[in-house]
Amino acid sequence: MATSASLRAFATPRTVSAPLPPDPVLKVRALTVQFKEFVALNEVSLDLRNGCIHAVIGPNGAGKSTLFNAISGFIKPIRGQIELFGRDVTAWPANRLARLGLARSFQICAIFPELSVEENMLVAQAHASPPLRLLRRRVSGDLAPHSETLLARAGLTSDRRRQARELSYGRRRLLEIATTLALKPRLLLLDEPTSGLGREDIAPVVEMIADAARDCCVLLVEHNLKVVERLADHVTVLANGSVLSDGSYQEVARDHRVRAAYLGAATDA
Amino acid sequence: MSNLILSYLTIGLVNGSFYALLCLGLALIFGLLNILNMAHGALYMMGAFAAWAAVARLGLPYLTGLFVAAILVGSAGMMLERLLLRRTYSLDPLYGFMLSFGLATAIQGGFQVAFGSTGLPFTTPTWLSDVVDLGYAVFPVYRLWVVMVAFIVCLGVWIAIARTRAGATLRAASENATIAEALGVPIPAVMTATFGLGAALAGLAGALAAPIYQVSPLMGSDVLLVVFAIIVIGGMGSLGGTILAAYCLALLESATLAVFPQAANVMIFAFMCIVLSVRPQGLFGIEVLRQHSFAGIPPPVTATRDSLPSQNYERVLIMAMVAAVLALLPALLYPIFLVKIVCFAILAASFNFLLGFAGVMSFGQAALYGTAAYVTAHAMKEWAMSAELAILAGITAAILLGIVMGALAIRRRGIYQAMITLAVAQMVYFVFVQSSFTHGEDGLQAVPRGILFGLIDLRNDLAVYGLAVIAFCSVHFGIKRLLSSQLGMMLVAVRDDERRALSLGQNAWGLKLFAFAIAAGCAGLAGSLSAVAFQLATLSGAHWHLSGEAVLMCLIGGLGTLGGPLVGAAVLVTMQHFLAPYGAWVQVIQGVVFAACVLTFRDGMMPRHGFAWPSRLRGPSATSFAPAETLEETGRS
Repeated sequence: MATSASLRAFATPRTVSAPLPPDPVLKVRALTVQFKEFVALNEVSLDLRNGCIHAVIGPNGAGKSTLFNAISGFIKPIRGQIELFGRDVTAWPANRLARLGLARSFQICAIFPELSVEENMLVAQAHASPPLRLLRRRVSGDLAPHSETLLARAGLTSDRRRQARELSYGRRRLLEIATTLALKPRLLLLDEPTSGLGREDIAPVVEMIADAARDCCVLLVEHNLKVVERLADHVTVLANGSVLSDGSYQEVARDHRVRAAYLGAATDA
Repeated sequence: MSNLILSYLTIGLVNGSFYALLCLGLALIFGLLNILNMAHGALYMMGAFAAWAAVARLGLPYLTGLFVAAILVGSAGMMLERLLLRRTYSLDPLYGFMLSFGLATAIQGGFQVAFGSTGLPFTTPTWLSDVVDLGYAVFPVYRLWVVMVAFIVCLGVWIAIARTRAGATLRAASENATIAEALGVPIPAVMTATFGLGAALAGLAGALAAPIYQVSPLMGSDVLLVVFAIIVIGGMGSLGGTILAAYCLALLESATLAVFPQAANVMIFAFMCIVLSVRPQGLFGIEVLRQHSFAGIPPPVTATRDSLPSQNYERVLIMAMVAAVLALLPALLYPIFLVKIVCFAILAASFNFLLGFAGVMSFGQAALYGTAAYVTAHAMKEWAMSAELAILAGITAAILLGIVMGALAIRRRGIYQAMITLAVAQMVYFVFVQSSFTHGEDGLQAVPRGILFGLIDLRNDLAVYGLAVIAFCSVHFGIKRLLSSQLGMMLVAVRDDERRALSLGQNAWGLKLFAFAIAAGCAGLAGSLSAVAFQLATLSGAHWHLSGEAVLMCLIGGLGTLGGPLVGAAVLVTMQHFLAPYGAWVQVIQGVVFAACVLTFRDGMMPRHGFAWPSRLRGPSATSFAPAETLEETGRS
């Protein structure tokens, strides 16, 4: 795979700066989500250690996205508990979680197509603005230095005035991750960040994730196992809504149940 | 007593029969064509007229008349779909909705021109004109006949869709037209046939209703809104659920009629509000998973741009010219005529604002306008309040109502929101019809204008004109400022992708409600101003037809443009003024203009400089990207 070489470059040890949030950052206990009769998540528990990139993998329909939606407040679980930064946040609305420092991306790239690249970044930093400032005219200078840096890192500085809809898919992904990071999250949830991307687009996205992980924890749903292998410190395998296995990539890869359910088929490909 | 209730329930079954036939057709059309057919009421009315023409004029037997009505209206529906509605499929569903509204206006106007507004009698066929003793009441046989026919037809259609091959084709096409087409289903033909079936059901309902209600051009107009409310309550997820909801709600309505007759008209709408607050997804709970929201409609937001000095000169020059024109106009035209234009322009601007910033097509703006007008007029006439306080009271009332309307509407998405605003507006209208302070059909007349801030004598028409101009300018520049502010950008973000905005920490609900409140404030300002200027507040100011006119104004002037509402209002008010002597022709012409605008003139009259619109509104989108999933799809339940 063409990306392997570039990926290896980022498997460097990370140092987490800033005051450390309590450990574990995210604690999910016996989370159960049900749609009508279908149990999408069954008693799922998961700990996200500080300074970690934690990947959730599993075959289609395993409940990965449901887990994400439940953690980020888009689905209300019927049972179980979610603790974020030491606070019980079960059933909090998504926007409140975002203000607490949880940011997420979506499986289908979610940007605001009608807004310019710059305005996409502005929306992400807007919740920090005092209300009266919101009525002021928007100017380029409104972008916080942090957002400027992110824009530069995503390679989008020169496209700042373009409408987001005009960007290629790969660059939209980068913009999405940049807006997500503009929230200055303490926990980053990425839902299949490389899905739908061509080979040449994967490396920059992985680069941005690795870069971001220096300052925050990352929970990642990913199908591309090469990416998981390079990025993840810890892997949780879901199957049929339950945790099948949990550990480092190597540990998980050795687990015969996982091989049977998922890895075997995928690594052969 | 129990006999009385039983007989009221039987009446409920009769009404339920009509509702069920109409709901079924509407849901079928919506499911496949993604068009909320505003012309359904007009088709119902056409059915009644067709039956009347066949039986009373041509002397055909009654049963043949029923049949002829269904066939004729069905064919008319197929023609409408083939020739007109089809052209809107590549556009936002909003355009299909507006087109069918224009057609309904034109058709109803046409029938008014031809047959007058008073009803035509339709005698019950002799073999059905008997009465039957049901044990608890004596009941006309004809009504039981209606219940039976409607029930059999509904059941037949339902079974046909659930069991037959043709039904399976229809269901497949509704589920996913693209895949069905790839599998060889002739989608265009299926669409035409479905619209024809829906129209035929409406026509049959009209023909059945003819002997019970009088045959009149406007008979379908109010029924349609009840049907919308039923659809909001029942949801269009399952046809069986829709039909069941129609019967249940008709029973509820007639039960109310027995207990508390004044509330009967309002009951279904009030029930809709309750259901929306308690169980937003509707009673039968399946929100259609397709994206019906108008996301990506008029993004009024300009990219952050630095204005060049030359543009500033230009701007000053234009402003000076506009000011000169505004100052000179009252010398040329009657000031109150101008004030009327300004009032309507503000009303249209409020609709435009809501569509642009919240993506909500609101047919409820007239209710807000009417409410403010009544409150202001009442405050000035009965409480002798000063003009500025009365206007403030009117605006406040409108904002409060707007927030309630908004809180209900944002619990659903897309076209449902339009239906909810319509239903809430109709409920408000009925409340006004029943209340004593509105003085019913007469309205509040001879409202004293008073003195503004104790200084400006509003009895002078010019002073009122000045007030109106100031009001319009504040609305215009207020919206303009919002366009270029961060807040406006956040509103657009929520409109385009609510989930993403939520995950970026935006309070989506609060922002949407804010948009509703601002729009309501504008509509209220327009209403209060009208009460002061025309010294009048009437029911027609609160009727949803006025909302329709506001939509038309925006469409003529240009949806999503800042100047559009003013231009559109000027054109429409002038047109109405000169066409007034021709009576019902105004409706016909208005409807035709509406339809023509949707079909050929979507960009309106105002240039769109600086206000980029997505290509999607002007035609099929060239750049397509994955649609944002709706919240429902993530299974929020």
